[in-house]
Amino acid sequence: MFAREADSSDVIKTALADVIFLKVDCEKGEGPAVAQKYNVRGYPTYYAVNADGEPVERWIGYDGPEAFARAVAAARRDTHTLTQKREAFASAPSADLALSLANDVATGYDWAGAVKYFRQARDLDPTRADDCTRNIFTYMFYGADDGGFTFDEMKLEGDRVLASAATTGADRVELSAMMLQLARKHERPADGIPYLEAGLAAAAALPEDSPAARTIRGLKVDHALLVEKDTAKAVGLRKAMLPENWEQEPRRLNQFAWWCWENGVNLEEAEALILRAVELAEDAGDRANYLDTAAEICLKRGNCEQAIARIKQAIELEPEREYFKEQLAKFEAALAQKKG
Amino acid sequence: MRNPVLAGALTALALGAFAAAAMAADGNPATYDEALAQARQQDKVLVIDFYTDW
Repeated sequence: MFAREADSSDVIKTALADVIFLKVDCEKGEGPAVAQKYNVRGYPTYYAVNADGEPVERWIGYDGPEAFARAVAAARRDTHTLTQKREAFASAPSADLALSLANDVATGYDWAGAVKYFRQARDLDPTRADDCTRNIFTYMFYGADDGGFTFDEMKLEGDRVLASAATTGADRVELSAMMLQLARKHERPADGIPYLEAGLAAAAALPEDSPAARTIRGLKVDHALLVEKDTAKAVGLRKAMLPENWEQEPRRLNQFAWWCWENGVNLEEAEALILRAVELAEDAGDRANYLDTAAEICLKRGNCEQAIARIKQAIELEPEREYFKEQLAKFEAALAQKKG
Repeated sequence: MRNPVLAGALTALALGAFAAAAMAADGNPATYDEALAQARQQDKVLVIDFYTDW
């Protein structure tokens, strides 16, 4: 998206007018070596460096022209290195420094550290509260899998974002979907329903070609499943989200079967479809992964023996994968429990 | 400590000829070393976009 907008956005062109700009394809030419030099872990990642190559700002992800321009402006405004900025913040904290350090630690995937700095920036400069809160929620969401934040902590920040007049309709949709996902992950699906409703209400005012269109379609699937309790409708809507000829593509078949497994619906068809994916897969690693999906579906259908048989097939294909051995132990334990 | 301004000027002289030839099609520098040399020469920050075509 950045590449596309860099050519058309005056905001980005202005931001780059007074810096040297280098694009590094991390898979070609010198790219892998330069990425390794800066310990780049994900894409896109941006570094602003001084003439000695030392980072003065770094940030991950492309969040639109304005956010990109703000980060470049921060680099031009204060060309001290990030190490120097950390020292300066310890003795004389400022919102600018807190924001630089928040982006710095986020680039190292330290979500809790990023949230801490964004909170400090918000306290130090309340005029930037909207941006800070949005970032706090986003990084909490990223860190949710590591258990770094409670659902109630994330809900508090998510509600602040929704309450802000600066939050766009598309952002409301995305945030609602994130909150719903968090609620389900924390086994509190009922807490996600108000967000689901709020997301769909915000979606009603958006054009059909909105950037949030796919998320809206996902919310409609969830609404059918969780609110209307209409499984057939949810399955139909979920299938409609897949591209044409998806039933001939192993990856898509797995995607749909896994969704069925996650939601515990349509498992008979899901099993048939994932076995087709196993047949169609050309790569042994892919086939093993699809067999794992098949095994999970068998287990959810109460067929522990078949789950064990499927995962053993996966192990034959990929004997080094520890994950499959852990899965085998899990299925054997389920069988033992079933037999009492 | 090396004088950064002088070093920048020397680097610019040394690289000037082929730097233009090595420029990427969009006018941006094509390599990391070339970009860093330009940053020194022009006393500007170098912004690097690490991306893939995935």
